[in-house]
Amino acid sequence: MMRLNKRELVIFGIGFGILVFFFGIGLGFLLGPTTETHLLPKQVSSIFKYSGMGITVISMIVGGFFVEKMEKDIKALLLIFGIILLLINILIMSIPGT
Amino acid sequence: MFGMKNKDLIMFGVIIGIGLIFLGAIINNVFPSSSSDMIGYKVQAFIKMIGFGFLTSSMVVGGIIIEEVDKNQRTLLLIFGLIILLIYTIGSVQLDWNVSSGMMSGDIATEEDAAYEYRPTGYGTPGFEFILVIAAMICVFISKKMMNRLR
Repeated sequence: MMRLNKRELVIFGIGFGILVFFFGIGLGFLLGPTTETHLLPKQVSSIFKYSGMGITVISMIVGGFFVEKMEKDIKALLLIFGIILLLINILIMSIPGT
Repeated sequence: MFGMKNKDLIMFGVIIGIGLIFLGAIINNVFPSSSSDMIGYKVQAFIKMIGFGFLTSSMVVGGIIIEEVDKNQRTLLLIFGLIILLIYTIGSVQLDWNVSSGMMSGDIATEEDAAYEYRPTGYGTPGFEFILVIAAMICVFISKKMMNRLR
């Protein structure tokens, strides 16, 4: 397996996480509507959605804080948007049934 | 990274992403769906979401790694990618396809009818556009403030 340094790992994490997040939303549509008796689409979709979002937010905050070989303004953007995304996700998770 | 020129890789991702979004729209129109046959709707929604994934991912990663383009242009790509991600994070709640027995009333007799009637389209659900507009305005405001501070 190719060896990735910290910067490449963070960039890979962001790209892969966003892809997995949208894949999760798409899977929710593909598996059909969630009803009170058939919860599988929601369960499968939320595994991918929240895994993807988790990987993205972790990579953005870690990239914004701990990676040295990145420009200053990009690091600031990553950190600010990472925190905003984290807060929004905490708010979304607090909605009953999500 | 990955043995391919970064700029080409990002360009490829953006092309594939936008292409998939429009391919989804074409599939939605060529294979119309009804309450008894929703396969067209399901497939087009999946393809569209994969397209959005490619597009957003390419924009954000491109905003960080492309070195051949102008710095302002690159930052703009990153900001717009992050705004799309932010909007879809907020919108993901509206894009959940949930059907409950409380939705069945009047003309909507069966679960399939309710599923078809309340299918999320991304634009058709009442209130979704409003959330998008508010989210976009907040994001633009924040990024403008940030850009001014960074200069």
